[in-house]
Amino acid sequence: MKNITIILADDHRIVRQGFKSLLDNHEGLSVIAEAGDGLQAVKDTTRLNPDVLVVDVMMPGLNGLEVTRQVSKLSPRTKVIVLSMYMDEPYVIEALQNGASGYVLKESDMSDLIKAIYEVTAGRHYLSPPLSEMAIAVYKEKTKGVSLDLYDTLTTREREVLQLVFEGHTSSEIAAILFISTRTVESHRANMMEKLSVKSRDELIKYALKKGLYQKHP
Amino acid sequence: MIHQPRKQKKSNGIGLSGDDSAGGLEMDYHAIFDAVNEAIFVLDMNTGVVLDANTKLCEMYGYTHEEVLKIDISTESAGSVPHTKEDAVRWVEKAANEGPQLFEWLAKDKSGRLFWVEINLKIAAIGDKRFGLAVVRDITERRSIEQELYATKDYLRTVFSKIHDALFVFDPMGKVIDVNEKVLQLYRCTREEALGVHILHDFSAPDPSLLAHHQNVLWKEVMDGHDQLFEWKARRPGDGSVFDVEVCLSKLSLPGGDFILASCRDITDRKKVELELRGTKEYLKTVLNNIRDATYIIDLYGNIRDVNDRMLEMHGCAREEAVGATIRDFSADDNPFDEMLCTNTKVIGGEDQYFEWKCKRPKDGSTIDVEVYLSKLSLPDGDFLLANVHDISERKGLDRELRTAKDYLGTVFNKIHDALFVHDFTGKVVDVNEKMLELYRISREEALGLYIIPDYSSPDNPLLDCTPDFWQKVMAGEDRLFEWKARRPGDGSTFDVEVCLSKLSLPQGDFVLASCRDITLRKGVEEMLIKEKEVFFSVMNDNPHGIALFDNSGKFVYFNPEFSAITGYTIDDVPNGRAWARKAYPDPEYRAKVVAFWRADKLPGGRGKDAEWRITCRDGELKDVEFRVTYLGDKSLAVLTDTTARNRAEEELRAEKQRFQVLSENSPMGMFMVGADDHIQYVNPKFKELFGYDLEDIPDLEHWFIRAYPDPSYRLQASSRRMHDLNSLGYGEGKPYVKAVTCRDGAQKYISFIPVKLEAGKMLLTCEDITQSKEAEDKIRERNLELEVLNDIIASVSGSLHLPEILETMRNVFVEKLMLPIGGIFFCEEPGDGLRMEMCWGVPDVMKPDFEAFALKEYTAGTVAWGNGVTLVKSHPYFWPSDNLLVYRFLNNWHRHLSIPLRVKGDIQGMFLLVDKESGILRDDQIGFFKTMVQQIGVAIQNARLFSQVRQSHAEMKALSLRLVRVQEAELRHVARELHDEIGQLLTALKLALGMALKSPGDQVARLAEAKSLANMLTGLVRELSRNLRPSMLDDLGLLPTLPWLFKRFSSQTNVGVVFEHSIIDNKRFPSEMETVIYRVVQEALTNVARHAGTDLATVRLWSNDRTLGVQIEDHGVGFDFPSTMKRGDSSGLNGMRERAMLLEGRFTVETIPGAGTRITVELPKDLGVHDE
Repeated sequence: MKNITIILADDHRIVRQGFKSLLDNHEGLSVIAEAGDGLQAVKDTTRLNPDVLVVDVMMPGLNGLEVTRQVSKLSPRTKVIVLSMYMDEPYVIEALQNGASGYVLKESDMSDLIKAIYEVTAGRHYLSPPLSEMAIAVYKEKTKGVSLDLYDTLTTREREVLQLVFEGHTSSEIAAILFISTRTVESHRANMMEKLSVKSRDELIKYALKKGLYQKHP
Repeated sequence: MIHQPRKQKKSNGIGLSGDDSAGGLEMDYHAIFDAVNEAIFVLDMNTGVVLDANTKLCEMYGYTHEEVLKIDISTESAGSVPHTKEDAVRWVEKAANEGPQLFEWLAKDKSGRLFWVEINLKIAAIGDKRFGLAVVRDITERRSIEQELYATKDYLRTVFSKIHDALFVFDPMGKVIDVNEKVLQLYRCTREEALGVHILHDFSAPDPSLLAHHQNVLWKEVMDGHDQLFEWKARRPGDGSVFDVEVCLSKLSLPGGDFILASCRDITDRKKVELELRGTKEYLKTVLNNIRDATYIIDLYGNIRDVNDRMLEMHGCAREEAVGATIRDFSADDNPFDEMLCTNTKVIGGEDQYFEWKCKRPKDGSTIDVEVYLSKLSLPDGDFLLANVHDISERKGLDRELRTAKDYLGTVFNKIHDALFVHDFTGKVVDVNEKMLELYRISREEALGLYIIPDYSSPDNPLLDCTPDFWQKVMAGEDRLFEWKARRPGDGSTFDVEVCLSKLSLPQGDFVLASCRDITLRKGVEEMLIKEKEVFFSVMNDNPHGIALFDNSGKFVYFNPEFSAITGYTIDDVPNGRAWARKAYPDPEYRAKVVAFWRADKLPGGRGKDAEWRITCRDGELKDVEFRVTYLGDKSLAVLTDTTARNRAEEELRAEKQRFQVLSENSPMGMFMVGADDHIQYVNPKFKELFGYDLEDIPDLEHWFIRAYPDPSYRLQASSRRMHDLNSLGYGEGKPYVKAVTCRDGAQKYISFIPVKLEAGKMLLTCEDITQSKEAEDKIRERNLELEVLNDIIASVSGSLHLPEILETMRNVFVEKLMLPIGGIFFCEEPGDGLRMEMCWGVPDVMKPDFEAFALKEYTAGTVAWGNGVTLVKSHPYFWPSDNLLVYRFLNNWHRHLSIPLRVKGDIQGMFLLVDKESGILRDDQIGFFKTMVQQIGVAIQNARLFSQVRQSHAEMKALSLRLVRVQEAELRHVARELHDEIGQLLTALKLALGMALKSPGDQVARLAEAKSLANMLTGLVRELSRNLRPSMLDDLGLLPTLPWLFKRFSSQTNVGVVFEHSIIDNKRFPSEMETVIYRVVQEALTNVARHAGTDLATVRLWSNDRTLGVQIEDHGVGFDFPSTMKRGDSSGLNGMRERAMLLEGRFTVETIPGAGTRITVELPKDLGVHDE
């Protein structure tokens, strides 16, 4: 069977050496290059087209996630395994979104990496336990947030001003009603229009109608 | 031993032969037989029965001769195979068949003891009889030595084979002579394959140079008796695989010659362990070297045992220089070393110490301020001190940077007058302040990037030597102040400004700071003043009296035409007082008198003494002139009246007494004569015309006084004046005075009286109606007062930026100049807010609340704020009710009062309430004046308030940077403690575990496992620490992934759920400082929700549009009372959020109502203008 070619990218020489000796001692795997920073990793991977790139998340210059993104474009045949200290799901999601095939925790057993290499070269995804694609999907679903109704972001004063503008009052009338100065009214009005991304009074009225505001004093 | 068979003779007691004849010989023979040193017995060939034995044998076996003959060979033998009787018989047969036999035999003596003998058995034939003749030798001793030797050999062989090390014996040529089993095992070969091959060629990893060295040098050394120990790469001849061994070569001297014994130990495992240990050590070293603190390990004598890279970096030295040196070599000489001893003792006692210290770089002797954490480090080889040294010069540097930033703010704000521009040499505007935006009616976005000359200046300005050359001068440090026509880029409208240019040195380079003050108002006032001045001069021109205006240096500023008419002089003839004196008083003596008089009269202000002098006119005519001088501070006003004619008339009267009647009858002046008895003797027709009184009306002075002066006090004054005249005047003398006289029809006229004392106590008074000129004079006085008041106000406007000072000036002007004894000044905090009283005067303390309530109720929401402004109340429209009689009287006893709103740029900023009790200055025609005055005051107050706002914000900025430094300090302390308490301890433990592992190879695996678990704990701790300090996720991934992660953590820690709503697409990234502010605000606000809100749900909204990035944290919990919380000062969280938002020029809004939840909104502008640089 043909050797699986690997490039190792980690800015810590010791860690890199540790992994290299582990991988070199394993039959069927051969480390063909090592990179100490992100730029070097992208360069080497693009030049050598290895089967697997093992890249650390935290690196000076280009971080591992960015390296993953670039490599998955520049050298599509290379499978990327991201090595990370972080068990936090956002990192895993970012890595997978950037095109990584594997995500291996630094603290897990050395054998985990070897397992990951075989899995990704076989075309599958691999995540170190206790991570799992299932759990990641659940997390994504749970935290994706809901889209925002811009009206909610208005302060009470801005809502009052919106209502009064809608009812056809001028700034100085609004100032008298709310017992604030005209300039303050103008500033609330500008903020409100900016938040709602409306450019003119007409658009504001349209927005209010769409929003279902009603005119108390038509 | 081979015994030659000897002829055996018949022995005694043994019937060997029946040959008695040979008896004598036999005896001899027997004696010989017995005396032989060897034990001999004779056996029956067939039965094995002992036929005879000699004495020696008997001794050997412990039998007597008789007993020996009774026993057979079996008794003498061990009896066990192969030493049975049958065996013995077999030996005998063998001897018979094959000749003499020599063999060893296990014999048994009488006592049953077994012992080894060597038997030489042969067959002897005596006659036809054949006997077995056995010569026996005891070989027990030899046998035991032999056995011992055998045992030793076996033992050695076993050891050789079984020894843990692989052993090779090879000759000096390298040929393998012998190997042990371990070799076969280790090198995976058979003994046959191993023997005979070459040790170097076949069992070593091939490296020809080393091989040669071995053969030539090492082996020779070994042969000389020097054992060699080294590590070696061994090779298995079978598969060529290579492994590590430790080899010990020693010389082996054998009978066959000298050989080399190579003892090889497989050290592959050890190597692996070593490698792993070295890896862990490297890792720890890296951790140690990468922590921010310099670390020293010091022994109890102050010698440095180990340091990390950071320390080397800090001191700028090599590791070799540091290790072994003493701590004194790295400390500044002025440190308290004596205290250090005491400190060390404490540390050894287990108390960690923390202090500041001064380190020294040995190379150049420069020093560094550091913080030291000293703790005890117990290592296997004794106790040490672990010093974590943190370079705080960076922190000091940070201090400096903050100070620079503060200076920048200080510079900008201190230089504020009004609108501020910061522009570069090309005139390109890089920064402006709020005031500028207001004044030029422009937004910040539009304002920046425009050019000061084409965009902000009216094209009809004088072309100074403006542009770079001019600015270059400013750069050289010359501040420039000039007036300028500014232009609003928006609508092109222009207005007047006063510009002050100064240099602004910023970290980015030098800029020009243009401070522009809107002087439109001032210009207006100036114009008004000019108009007033014109009025004033026209009054003076039409005056029937001569008027001269001169300044303090005596220079004449103005003569009115009447002056020239009286004296004949123009201002060109007499430019100053000196010239006037010389020309008007040519007689030096007289002149001296006049000059002395005026010198004495000189006052700082007010009316001087009146005087009459005889002057020489231009045409040489002598005239009597009355001078009335009013001093106006910087100017003086002299009013001249030509009294020559009057005097001359008097003279004439006296001279031509008889003509008096005629003349008086026709006199244009009123005249009346008073007799010594106070009876009025005569009034002329003019008098009647003037006053309407006839002699019947005023028969005497008493009646005159009653009618002319109805006011009693005025009358008293007039009558005393008369008495004075009567007593002081000489005959024929008269001195004019003016009195307001009430005429018959009630009209009041100002009359100039000139009394002349005549003989016999009579007095003649002439009366001239000067009502008109008197009124003009009063008008002038009033105008002077007004000018004075305005002058005072303008002086205070430009003189001070401190509100209290300005208000004090105002109060003085109102009370002392305008005679308004009661009043108040009211301000509002923000335009549109309610008014509150800033100061008042003339109001007793107890009445202040009522006074304020009165003013606010009457004039705020209605009249002042929304009405047309100035309100003059001539008398109360209704009475202000009060239970307190004093208050009631106070408030309802005013003559008039006036309220004037204080408007600045259209917004009501405050109000003046002025109360007039009697001065009568609050008249309808004075309202314009008060309006103008208050306008001026408005500008002054606005400036002062702006100034105080700037000062306040400066103070806030200062407090903010102080707080930042404190927070940072606390954070660093926390990190340091965490590093020391948690990580430091674990590192120590790890080091110990590794030390143990190195020392006890037996349980290395367990120790290493322990070390690994410690390393794992360390990893976790460091990760948690860094995560708490600042989640690197925020930098790596941005807000959108990080916030949900935060919420998840938050929810699992607090059980408060978070709903996240956002409008951000594709994880858009924002500048790092904005992301940080948003993250921290959310974190802080959520912490508040969990702590105080008493709810289990919060909503976080995140949005972004073209100009802002906004976040909102809302809960429906208990809410709080915002103002009182801010006042109590327990709102450091809210303050922190506000400050973070402010630093990025963002907006921070808190909406909360007790019981109805809280909503915190932060909006950050996306472009930060000049701060982006």
